[in-house]
Amino acid sequence: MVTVLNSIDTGHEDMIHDAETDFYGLRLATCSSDNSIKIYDIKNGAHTLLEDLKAHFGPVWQIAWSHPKFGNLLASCSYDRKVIIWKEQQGKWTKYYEYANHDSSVNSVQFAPPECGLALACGSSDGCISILTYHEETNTWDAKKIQNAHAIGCNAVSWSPAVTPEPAFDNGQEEKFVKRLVSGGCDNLVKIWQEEGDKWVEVNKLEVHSDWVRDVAWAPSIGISRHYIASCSQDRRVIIWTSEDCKTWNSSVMHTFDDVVWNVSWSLNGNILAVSGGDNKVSLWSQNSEGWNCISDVLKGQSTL
Amino acid sequence: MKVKDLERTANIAWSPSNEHPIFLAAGTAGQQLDASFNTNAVIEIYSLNLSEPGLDMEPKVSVPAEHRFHKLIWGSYDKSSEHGTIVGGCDRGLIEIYNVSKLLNKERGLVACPSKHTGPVSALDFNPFQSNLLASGAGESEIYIWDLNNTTTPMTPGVKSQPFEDVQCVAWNRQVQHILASTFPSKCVVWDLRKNEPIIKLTDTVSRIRWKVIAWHPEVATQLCLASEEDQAPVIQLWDLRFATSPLKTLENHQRGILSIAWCQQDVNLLVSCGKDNRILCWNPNSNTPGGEVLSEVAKTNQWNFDVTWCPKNPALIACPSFDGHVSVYSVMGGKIQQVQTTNKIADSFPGMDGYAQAPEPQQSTPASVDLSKPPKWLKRPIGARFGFGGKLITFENEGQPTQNQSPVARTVFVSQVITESELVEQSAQLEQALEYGNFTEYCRNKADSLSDQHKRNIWYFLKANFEADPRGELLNLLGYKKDEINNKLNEIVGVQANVDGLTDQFSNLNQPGSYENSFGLDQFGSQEAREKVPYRIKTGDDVEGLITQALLLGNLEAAVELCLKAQRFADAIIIAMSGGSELLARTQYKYLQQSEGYVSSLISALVLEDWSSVINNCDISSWKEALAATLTHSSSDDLPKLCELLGNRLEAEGKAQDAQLCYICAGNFEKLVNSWSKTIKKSSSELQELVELVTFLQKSIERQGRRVEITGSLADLLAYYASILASQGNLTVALSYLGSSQDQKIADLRDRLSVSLGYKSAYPQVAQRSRHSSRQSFSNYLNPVTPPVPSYNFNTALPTQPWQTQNQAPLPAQPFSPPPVSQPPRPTSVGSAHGGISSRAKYVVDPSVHSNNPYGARNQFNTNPYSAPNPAPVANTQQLIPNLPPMPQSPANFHNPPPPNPAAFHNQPPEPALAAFAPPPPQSGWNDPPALRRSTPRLPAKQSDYVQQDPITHPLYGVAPSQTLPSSNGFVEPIQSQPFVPNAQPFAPNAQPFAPNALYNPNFEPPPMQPPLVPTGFMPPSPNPDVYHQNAIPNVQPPVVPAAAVEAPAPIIQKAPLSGEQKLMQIVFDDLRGRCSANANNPQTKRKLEDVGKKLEFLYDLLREDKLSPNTLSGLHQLVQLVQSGDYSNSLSLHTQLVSGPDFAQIASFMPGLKVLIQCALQLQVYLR
Repeated sequence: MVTVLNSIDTGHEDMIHDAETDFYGLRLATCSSDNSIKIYDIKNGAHTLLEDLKAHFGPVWQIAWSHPKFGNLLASCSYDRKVIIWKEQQGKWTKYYEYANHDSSVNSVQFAPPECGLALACGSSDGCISILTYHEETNTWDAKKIQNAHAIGCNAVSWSPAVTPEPAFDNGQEEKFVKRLVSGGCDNLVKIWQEEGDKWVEVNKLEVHSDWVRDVAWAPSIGISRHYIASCSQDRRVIIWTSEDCKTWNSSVMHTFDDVVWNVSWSLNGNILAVSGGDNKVSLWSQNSEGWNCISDVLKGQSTL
Repeated sequence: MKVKDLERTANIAWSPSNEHPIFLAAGTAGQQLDASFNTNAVIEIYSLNLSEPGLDMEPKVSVPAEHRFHKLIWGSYDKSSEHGTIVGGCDRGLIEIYNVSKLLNKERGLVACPSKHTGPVSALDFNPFQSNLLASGAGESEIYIWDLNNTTTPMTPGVKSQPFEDVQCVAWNRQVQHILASTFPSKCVVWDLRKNEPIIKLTDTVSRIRWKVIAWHPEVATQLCLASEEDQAPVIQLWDLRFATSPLKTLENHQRGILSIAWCQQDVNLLVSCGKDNRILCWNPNSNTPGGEVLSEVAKTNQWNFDVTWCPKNPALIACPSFDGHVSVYSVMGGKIQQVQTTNKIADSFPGMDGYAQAPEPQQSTPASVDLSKPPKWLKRPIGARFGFGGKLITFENEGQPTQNQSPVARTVFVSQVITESELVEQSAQLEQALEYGNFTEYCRNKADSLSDQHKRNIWYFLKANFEADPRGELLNLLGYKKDEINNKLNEIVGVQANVDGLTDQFSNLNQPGSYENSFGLDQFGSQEAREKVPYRIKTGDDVEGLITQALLLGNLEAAVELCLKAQRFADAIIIAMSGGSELLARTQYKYLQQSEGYVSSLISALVLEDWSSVINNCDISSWKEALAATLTHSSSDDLPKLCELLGNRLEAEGKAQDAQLCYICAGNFEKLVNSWSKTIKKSSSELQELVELVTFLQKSIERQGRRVEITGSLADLLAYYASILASQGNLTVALSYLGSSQDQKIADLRDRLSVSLGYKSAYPQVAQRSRHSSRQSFSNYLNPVTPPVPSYNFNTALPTQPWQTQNQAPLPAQPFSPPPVSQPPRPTSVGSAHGGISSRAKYVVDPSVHSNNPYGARNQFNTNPYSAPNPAPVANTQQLIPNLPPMPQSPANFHNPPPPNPAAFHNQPPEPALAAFAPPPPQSGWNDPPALRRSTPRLPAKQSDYVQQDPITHPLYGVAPSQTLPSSNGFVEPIQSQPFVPNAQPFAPNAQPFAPNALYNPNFEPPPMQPPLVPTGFMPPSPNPDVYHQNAIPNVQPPVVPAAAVEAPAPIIQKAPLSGEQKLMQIVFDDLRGRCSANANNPQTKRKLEDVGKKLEFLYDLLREDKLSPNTLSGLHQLVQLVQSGDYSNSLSLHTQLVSGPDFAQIASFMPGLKVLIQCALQLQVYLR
């Protein structure tokens, strides 16, 4: 049930660390330890290299596409402590904004859900999380920084899907969405943050993992009110955190793997979790009434079950 | 970056890697006194406590020890507890072995204390493979191997090396378990424990080196690093035992002797060292940089750091005890140094030593973040998988490392399709098929029969009923009321009771009003009554009867009724009331019903008052079926949904959700149905599929009834969810088809995403953000289901509407399918023939699009009528329109000229004869909106009633029988089509147009005789709206359709009425393309096709001029123009398909086939505009 549509030899000269398609699934961006970012057109199973971006001076760890309503933006973060937001104009990608206010490797970038406007969260090995927000009126970016979010380093950030606040107040002209983040770090913690006023406040400190948290992913919510977060760790476990109200979270160990788990990613409907482990294994998991089950092992893009 | 700090001068040991949380053990250092000259010793365990901010570690336990320590190690060996064993090397050859679990329980924990050694024991190491094996080294070249299970008799690795020296360090090989290395100031000796002898000795003969520490390569068994504490040669050497004559590399950066090194077990490219120059350096020992590559200076402190160790568990951390009374934990990952005020205990102990205490202060302020110049391995994510839109999974892996042989490794990313809901995909495909073939009834029946759940069967039968010819009858049938049977039964019963002279047979006749009076039965009734008549006296007493009599005699019916009611003579009361007018009757009925009791009278009451909601609200809930039956029988199609919903609400409130769902189906209420259903199901995909099927069919049935389905609320959520699941299985096209044209935001967003993803819309327009956004919106407006095979949820179902037929309801004002034109005889040929037919005309009229859309075969008959437009007769108002025209003599036809005819009539009718059949007579538009004709699909009953209502308006103004105006609409077909054939008659053609239709108002039109009674001037009221004239004029300047011979030369645009900018573009593009195509076309067939296209395009332009196209269609067309301009014909065609399958089909049917042919030709001939 997993079949390769397209196999792209990227020509990166060193390890690939991230690969992500844009909102429509028409373009693919990859980033690598060779300090470069490549953008491919992958329409109809073909692949054409559109751009090879080289402006980082260190390995590029992660990339993120913006929602197209903000234009064609791509964010990248690197070991060179920088976050770069690239913009496509007239088919050319150029540096649109550069953020260099971290003191160490920036490990994770993710754009906020479009309902929250154009905003980017960045997690760094300096232990801080930055939230960059674009202000259309002034055409400027501002940055808010959560200091000491994770001692020794933040490895991953993920936004909560846009959730409208309780309809307590009369509908103001502008619907305000609660901005929430989950982050995971080298302090083995998973933390939930929430914007309150102009500050970011730690709402939850979730302590179950016994080693570095490598990745966190807040599930998109399609027709469900319950929140799901997946976290994976150096302790070889994937933990699913659930909450009804975003205040109290319950954890359950989805599975303990044979090796370090590096990456978790939810399907767009939030019903499948892809887990990538240090033993070069990708597996797909879904939940049924009994719990979480592995529905497929994927090797080289092909299911092996 | 310093992470934690401990104010101790201590030897330290990290907890083993299997330990969680991370602990740090600290035993009072024996190398140096602390400032208090305290000789007491403690062994302490701290929790690293990383999750807490600040430099403090959390003390777990502090136990006094007998001796101070020169070395501390923590191994995982532990027979009795899970926390392992701490071993300390002390003075006088003592080794102290602690059970950590006991220590953590605050017990003494010292399990053994062998003292075989001589001098301080400063070298200790656990075997990484056998955790019970411990190596120790002390003075006089003594090395012992201990088995922790039995600490009484240690073994030696071989003969003591000569000369005797202090053992500085022992280290087990990381790959081969029986290899042990040891350092002495002058040499390094490597032992093989199997052989019990030294296998190699390393000495550096060149430099004056004093070996201090050794560290084995974590992965390469034969490599090790040696560090020298000699200030003159503060180097680290990398040796390979296979080439043991000289070091492979020498790392030089420390300025004074090195006291310790540690090789990171998790990244072989990291080695830390600390020395007497107070610096902690991190190296890449594998780098080929001459002199070694320093990745970072982790810290610079005030005093010597006499040891450094990597945290086994957290690779970013190192711990360094220093002689300034601190144990510091650093992260090699950089970050800002936290400024912390260190209390200076030395200053406290030595008041007056301020100067000394302050001296090191400046060094505290290390400003910059320090991280490794190259990333450590543990940051390099080797593998990943991410989901993308459409169920795509993007994976990558990095199997080969390029370090080995430098051969390039293929860095491949895979894009895969994930299908997890194959069943749902299959079912949805079946549903698609069913919808495509349109045999809904059968599908419902099969579906119902395939189900075992009775409730679901019911639901499907209810749905099926909606597709039957008589939905209400079917529904009643399903509720257990077979109309025919029951009627028969009733008739029988009634017949038996009447039992009068075999009247039973005649009862059926009573239903026929025509035969009513002549019925034999009634005569008999009459004669029967007559026979029984006997003379009677009229009493007028004051008793009830008398009073009634008096009231009757005086005609005071109200009083009579009142009296009868009081006397419980209800029948009398009502009969009397019947002659007292409807108001009295109603009052009487009401009073009667108020007084009567019982459910039958409730029903009667409902019937009389037409208030079925009272039945629904008040009946016992178990009688819901009866209530529903009554509702189905009696309520109007407007009320039915409300009433059914009401009943459904009640049922749901009573906990009968399933029955409620049936009611919601009758009501066609999606919101309620979906909500109710969602409550009862689990969230499995098969149930979702079931609900979607249900909803889809309900939608279809409602559309068939001519009602519009708004996709909002729960229905929108459901369909969006369903579509998103289909999309996640890669079925983007199908997913798109479920989204219809709903304006629901969720749906619009998804639709947009799908269509861009499918390439129906360009994804990356190079426009400003704002306008981009708006274009998105307008796009979602026009976007409609794309796939041609899917009959989308719009209103273009080819099936005729089935209005609810209700017994009590008056028939709809207009019968949709009995329009006059069908029965109308062909127009008199005499008029037409007078102007001469043009033989080739027929070819145009039999236009495929026209034909296919025409339900009336008779149309052609009209079309072929050679009634010719180029009637030279001028019309009075022509002078207003075209002032430079010479005045024309009044033609006989003139008087028929109506006030400005509806331009729409001219332009729409040729392509849409079906519509024309319903078209209101042109004059109507003079008093109404000009575009009224094209309001919507003609099937909706409301539209037909429009027509009827407007009819009378035209009537008095013309003095022409309205019924006769109808067939005349056919006449509009002619002028336009015939126009091209008389190009030279141009000045007259415009006049002819308004004229022609008028002439047709009267099928028996005979110009001269009709002229006298009407005065031309009086007959031509100035138009109330000049615009109408203007619009009127537009068709007149319309250029002739290019005749076949002139195809090569495109029609001159100058002649066309001005189109607004965007539409002009459309015209230019299409005409240009057509011109080029026909220039490139070689065979006559194609040329002919293109001619045809030209005509179709004219229809389009006409519609554009009159602004007759919906915004949806317009934006679709603009989109199409863009695609055509860019030469993207394949997408043009799919967009075309999409438009045609959209809701505006009727509106665009006239020209869309032409566009298709055009694009196909362009594609075939490879003609591109650029």
